[in-house]
Amino acid sequence: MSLVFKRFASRASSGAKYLAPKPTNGPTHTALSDAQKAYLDRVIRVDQAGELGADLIYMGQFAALGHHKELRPVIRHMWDQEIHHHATFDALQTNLRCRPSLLTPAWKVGAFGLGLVGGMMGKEFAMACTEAIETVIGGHYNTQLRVLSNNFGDLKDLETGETTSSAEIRHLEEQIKIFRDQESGHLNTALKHDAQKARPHWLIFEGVKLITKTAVYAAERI
Amino acid sequence: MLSLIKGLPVTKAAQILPILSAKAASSSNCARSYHSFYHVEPPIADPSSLENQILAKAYTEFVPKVGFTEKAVNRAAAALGTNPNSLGAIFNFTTPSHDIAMELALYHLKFARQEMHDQNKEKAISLPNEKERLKFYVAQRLLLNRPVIDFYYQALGRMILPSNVSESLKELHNLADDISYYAGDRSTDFAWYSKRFAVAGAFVQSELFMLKDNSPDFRDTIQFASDRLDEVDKLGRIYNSFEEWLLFNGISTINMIRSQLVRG
Ligand SMILES: [Fe+2]
Ligand SMILES: [Fe+2]
Repeated sequence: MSLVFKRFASRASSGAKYLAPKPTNGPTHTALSDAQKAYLDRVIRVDQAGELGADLIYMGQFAALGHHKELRPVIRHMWDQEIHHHATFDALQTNLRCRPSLLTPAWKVGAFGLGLVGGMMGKEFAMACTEAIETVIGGHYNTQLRVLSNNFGDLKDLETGETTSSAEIRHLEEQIKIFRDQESGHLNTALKHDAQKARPHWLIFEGVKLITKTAVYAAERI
Repeated sequence: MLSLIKGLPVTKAAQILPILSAKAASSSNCARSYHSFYHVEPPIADPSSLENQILAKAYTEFVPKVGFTEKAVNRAAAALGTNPNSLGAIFNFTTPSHDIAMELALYHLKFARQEMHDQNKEKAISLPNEKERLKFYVAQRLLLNRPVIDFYYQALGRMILPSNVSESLKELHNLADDISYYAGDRSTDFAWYSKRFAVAGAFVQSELFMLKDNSPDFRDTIQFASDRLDEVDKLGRIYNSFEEWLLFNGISTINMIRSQLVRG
């Protein structure tokens, strides 16, 4: 539990190391359209809220199951990856000046509670939650990747005059790709650790999927 | 792992894509969001448009004489060789009331917001902390009202008309956002909102105070603003410790967590 306290207290800084290095001679590309900006704003808001949620879910699971010798390093590993995802989107949100989700306090309490309560219900229950969440998030990230690669390549490079994606967009795509792959790693971990032995599996799986989808829907907008 | 990628919801993308094109129409209406480093950022008030050239001339030359009125804009248009009767066609009205005096008031807000940043970037860096920079930017922005202060009540009167108030609030939010960001705010949660809300409130109160202030160099107004911002600072700290308390003492209150979960 003390580790949980420590992690919570020390997560403040958001640094340049998470961003595409700033262009040395000012902008490289023509202006984004308002629609493109609105889309990026939304992507960063929902992903930040999601990674905040993931971070706190694993924090809750760790608080509940950290005494478990085998599970401790497994959860710790996934949690560390979520901490990195979360820090990355915090840096993107603050530096690219998007507003965070207004419901952040609810995400914090809800996610930590889901992790903690899920963990207290036992290993299989917790892993079934992870399975459900990561299933939704995988699809969510794939959708974003498709829109980013299809709709942001039409902007002119100021030097060459060619239409390309800027380094800023490419960086965002790369981060999301890495995170998506790590999330599907979490899904596999959950399956390996008996997620499907939870009873009633379908209820937990569908229930948590629904919660996750609802949260995604709300965090995109509010 | 692969099934995840293959089984992606194609329909979801189809839902999102129209947003990209449909939203473009009502574009310049949104409050500013997402600021790019790699893409050119449009200026707050584009000086190359005829509309803004007329407004700029009205603002610098005629507002000090005839106030924030349609007359000021008409005279500026005439001085630039534009027929004042054709302004309805030239202007890209931001409010449904097509109120020329409101456009002039908005021009002041945008111009002053831009100036606040351009004039003070270097000076702000030398200040020791976020709170000092916050006070500094608010003071500088208030002082940008000085050239038009005698007529500023007219602009405020326009801004609070029911048909104009949403545009005014948008610009007020943009100002509070700029001030907070330039001062160094990097909040990632609810504090982001409470800070901007409080900065906007402190700013509006200070502007109202300024209308009646006769002290040299508006010293009393600056002091008033500084006191309000001290209160903002206190507010933010109280909020954050409350949240920590909630997270760690509230976990035994499972019911509360459940109700949060239901809320999704
Ligand atoms: Fe993640
Ligand atoms: Fe994950």
